[in-house]
Amino acid sequence: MRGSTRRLHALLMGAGLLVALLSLRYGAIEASWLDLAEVFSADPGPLAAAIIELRLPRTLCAAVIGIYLGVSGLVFQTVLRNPLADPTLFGISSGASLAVITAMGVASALSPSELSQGAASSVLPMPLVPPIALGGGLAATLLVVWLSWRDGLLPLRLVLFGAVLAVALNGVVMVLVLSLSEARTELAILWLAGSLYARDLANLWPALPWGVAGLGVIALALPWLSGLRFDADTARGFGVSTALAVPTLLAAAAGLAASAVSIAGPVGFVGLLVPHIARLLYGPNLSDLLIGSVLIGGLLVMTSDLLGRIIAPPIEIPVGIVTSLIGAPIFALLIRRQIIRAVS
Amino acid sequence: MIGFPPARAAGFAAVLTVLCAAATLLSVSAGAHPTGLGRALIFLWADDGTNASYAVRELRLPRALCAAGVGAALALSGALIQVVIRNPLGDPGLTGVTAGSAFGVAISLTLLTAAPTLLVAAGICGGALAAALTFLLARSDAGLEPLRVILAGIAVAVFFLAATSAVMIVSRSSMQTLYFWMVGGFINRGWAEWALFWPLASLAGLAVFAITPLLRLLQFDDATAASLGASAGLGRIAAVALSVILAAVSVAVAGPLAFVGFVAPHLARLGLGARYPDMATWLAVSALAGAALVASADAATRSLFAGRVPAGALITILGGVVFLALARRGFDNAR
Repeated sequence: MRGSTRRLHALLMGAGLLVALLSLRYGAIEASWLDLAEVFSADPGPLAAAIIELRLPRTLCAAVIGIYLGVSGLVFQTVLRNPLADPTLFGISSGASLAVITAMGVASALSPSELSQGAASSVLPMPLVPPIALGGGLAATLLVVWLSWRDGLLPLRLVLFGAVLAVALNGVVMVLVLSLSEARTELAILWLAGSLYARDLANLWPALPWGVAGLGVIALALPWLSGLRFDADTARGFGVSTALAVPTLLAAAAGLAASAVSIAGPVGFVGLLVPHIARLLYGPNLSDLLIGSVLIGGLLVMTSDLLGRIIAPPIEIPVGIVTSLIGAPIFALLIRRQIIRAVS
Repeated sequence: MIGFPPARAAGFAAVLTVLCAAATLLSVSAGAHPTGLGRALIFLWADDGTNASYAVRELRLPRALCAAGVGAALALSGALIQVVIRNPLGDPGLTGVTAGSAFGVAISLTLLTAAPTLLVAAGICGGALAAALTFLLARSDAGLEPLRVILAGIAVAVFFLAATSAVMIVSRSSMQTLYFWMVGGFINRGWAEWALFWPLASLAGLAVFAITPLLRLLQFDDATAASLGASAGLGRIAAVALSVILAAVSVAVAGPLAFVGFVAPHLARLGLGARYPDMATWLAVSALAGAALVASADAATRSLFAGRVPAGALITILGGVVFLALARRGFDNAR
């Protein structure tokens, strides 16, 4: 590993830690650094307790979501050789949302009536959420690929079909959410906006095994990923079995994205932006890019969550909306670049 | 221009009119306290001071009118965009115009004032800004490629929808209100909304029919249009401006409804049985189809979900499926 790469890793890690600390300190109620230090004492005060109970879990959730989506985006962009690929843009998150909301509805219909009056999360067991999201996400991915397949996958075509499918699936989610009872509507709506509000470790744990498995597969398959940057023939020339490598990697990436969605709903554009920033900083080496995507992804989502909390306290702007505001203009510029390239 | 049997056009228009009228009557008579068709018609004729009469005349009738009117306006708006980009995939939602209007309306609602004229003006400004951004992003030396216009439009739409959400959240709208408004629909729309909608919408609608000769020329490529003595640029600007106005007044009333502007002109093409029907007939039938579509969607969601689901949800699902099916089949011609 070159020295400059190592310095960059260290720099990003430092920035991540700094944002994590800021994220613990700032929010609706501002804590001082002293309150923050009190977290480590044997008998923390009420403010320190709140930091441990509320802000620490959501900061962790933000970091994990960022890591999952960043790596997922890197794999999608590399395997599909599509600079516009983003797991939340082409239907994965809508498919995952639809599956989870449907499951919430089914669970409350099956459970005794007095239980279903409460929050939906108490009806649908938490550990079931990630696999359900995963199933929905994979189904939506397959649908988008099938819809847009015509002698290969054109980048712009995939984005168009993914975006429209996402809108249509969101329509179904809407009908389901609004025809459910009132108590569940509020929760489902917050979830759909991609909010980290009141996310705790109970939301995080179930998503961890799936995500770690996905990350492990991708790390092990890194040589495949390097080969797949080139067209199929060249990749085979490198000894990569495309028939095995492409589905494995895409499934792992979709799994990562769906796990991220299962924590806090759809957080848009992270998977799109992170690989581009990583390529700008690190160049083309894939193992550097993988570590870079982990670091940048965590940093980006933690920063977005922090921004959403401090822009207009005590009101919170959901992290998904902040990332969309940052991401959409850059997405537009990337499309513009694609347009210019396609013409010349 | 390929000819088509006028009897077919008249027949199709009649079917759409009947559909639209049936949906409106259903809307007016059905509800939490069903009135019955006969009594509803009597109440429409004369107010007898009862609660049932109030419900029909003051709550259900304006809502039904808003649904039909917004449907027609969005259909015309979509048809104009389809003419400008010479592609049947055009839609004010897919080109970012409705999202831009929604942003303008949200700014006006939350930060400035809810005064109707300002609301619509802000919607038009937002829609025009979004349209300008979309066309600037999609422009290249090769001219306006339809697919690129739509992709650039998606990016612009995502941005303005996120910005709209942010504005409404910061101004302390509840998530529920925000969500309902963003889906688009006609729950609790009354005479005030209708009063805001109809003058500008009907003016813009008339203007669309006034410029049909220009629109006919836009169907050809620029060189052919120029040889016929028309300025393609001027016609295009007029068409986009009218499209933005129609979309903006619709958004001010109903929120950002997607896909109506795409589906209705398609239905019209299908019903007229011609790929390039006569422009004026096509526009008129598109407007009718849009009115019938949105009025039916509103009537259906009202009766199916007891008023809990806005019409926009149903329209989005239907529109999305139709779009995917058509785009998948016709993508190669569409490119």
